[in-house]
Formats: sequence, structure tokens, C-alpha cells
Amino acid sequence: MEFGAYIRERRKALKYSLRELAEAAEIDFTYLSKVETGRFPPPSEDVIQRLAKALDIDVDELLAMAKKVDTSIHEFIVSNPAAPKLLRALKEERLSEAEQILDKIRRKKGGTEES
Amino acid sequence: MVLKNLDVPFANIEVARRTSELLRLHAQKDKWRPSLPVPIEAIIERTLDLSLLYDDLSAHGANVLGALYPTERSICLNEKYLSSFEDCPGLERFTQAHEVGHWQMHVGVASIDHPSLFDIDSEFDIDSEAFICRDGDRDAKEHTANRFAARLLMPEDLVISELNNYSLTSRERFRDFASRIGVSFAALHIRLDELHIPHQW
Repeated sequence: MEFGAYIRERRKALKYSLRELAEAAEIDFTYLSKVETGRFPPPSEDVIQRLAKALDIDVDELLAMAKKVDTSIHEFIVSNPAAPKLLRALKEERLSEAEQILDKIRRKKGGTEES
Repeated sequence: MVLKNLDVPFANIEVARRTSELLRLHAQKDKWRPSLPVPIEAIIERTLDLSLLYDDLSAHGANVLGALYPTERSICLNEKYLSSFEDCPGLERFTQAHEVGHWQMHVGVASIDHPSLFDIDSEFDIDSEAFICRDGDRDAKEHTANRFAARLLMPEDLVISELNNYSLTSRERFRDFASRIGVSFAALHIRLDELHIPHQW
């Protein structure tokens, strides 16, 4: 599903009007109508973050739909030579294995927080 | 489906039938408890699954308030009229309801969803062209869409029920009532005359 159509469907499911969502995301409702109908491309990262919050959607999921990467992640990748290597390695692995690695990291992080 | 060459009395009966049907469908689908103002945007987006767009329609000429693009399932309001819509929300709501009128009365919805099943020379007048609607248009389809909009936004039973708790004793109260039920002064005036509800404003 396209970014705009996804926003529209989520907004309808939550019974928000165009004006209500636009106000929550601090954007103009006419602009939102153009994004939703694909007249305009997906908005900037900060607007996407506000839309994700208003619509209770995972921001990374929404950024991915807009074919954008969180600026902090982008900065991390370009400033750490090991990061692209890690991502390339993950890309070459099967996705399920990447998920397992992510789980390990989460567990380790949880264990550290608990200790 | 749209029958060709509707005569006016038959068109009026169809308008009445289809507005009632749409309100009933919205109540059922959206768990709406019928009351005024009629939630026109919710009807458009959630019951009819049409998208709502605000864009510049100046390319279509002067006085264009709104448009319906059947194949895109989209209702567009002219953003050049935003200040008028802000000043008079009833105008914006009536324009939206007017485009719904074209969708319900003049567009072969089944032909949009299943184009290969329909032949344009059949007994049904299937219209998938855009409807560009100007303030003051008077042709038959525009007139029908206006009647549809008036009935959709001001169903007889709801208007009468609302008037049981509100007396139109002054021009100001008339204006306030129109605003409360989400229509313009002029639209309410015409609708009350049509319903033979006496008023002096």
C-alpha cells in the first residue's frame, strides 16, 4: 500500500477527520489531503513522526513506507564504517536470521537493564 | 445504476429514496445515531469510501466550488474557496453533499468497479466523466445534485424534531439554527419552504 493510502486508511479506522489529524500532526489539512491521495510525496521526517504518534503507528514502519530513514540512524551509519558492513552482512543473511540477531541484542539489553 | 431521461417528479422520488437509503446505510455501518448536523465527511469517507481532496480547481474556470472524479473515487473541493468555506461551513458541507449527489444519482458505481460488465449503449446511462460544479449552475444534473444535498443534510424527520426544541422567532435565531445544523442560511430557507414549514425569515 502507498504511504498516503495507508495514512488515510488508518485515519478512517480511528474515525479522525482530515482536519482533526492535520491539527494533531501540526500540518495543513489541504496538504494532508494531497499526501493521502498521492498528489504530493510523503512529507518530511518530522511530520512523519508526528503522524505516527497521532495515528499510533510504529514510526520506523511509517518511515519505511515513505522510503526514508530516521536521521539519527542515517548519521550513525555514515559516521561508523562498521555499520554498513553489519547491514550488508544482514542483507546477505536470511531475514529470519537477522530477526534472531535482533532478538539476542534485545535480550542482552533487557538483561543489562535488569542487572 | 442511472436511468436515462429521468423526468422531474420521478427524479425527486429517487432523490428521496436514495438519500434515506444512504443515511440508513451510514447509521448501520458507522454506528451513527441519526442527528443534526449530518456527518457528511464521515459519510463520504467511511460509508462511501470516497477520498476527500482540497486542490486548486482554477484550471476548470471561474466559480468552480467542487468536483467529483468518479474513476478516482474522489471528491475535490476548490482550495481557492477555503476562506469562503471557513466563513460559511454550511457552504463547504453543501458542496460536499452535492458531489455525493452526483455519485449517488449520476454515476454507475457498478460500472466503475466492474467496467467490463457494462456497455455504455445499454439502457443505463453510465457516467464516469468528472463532474465540475460551478456556483449557480442550473442544468438538470446540477439541480438534482442540489436537491440530493438538501435532503441529505436536512432530512425532514430530523429537521422537524430539531425544530420542536427551537423556535425561529427572529432572523438571528434562524441564522443560529442554520449554523447549528451545519447548513447555510439560504439552504435552510429553501428547504423549509420545500417542507412547507412556516417561517418569516
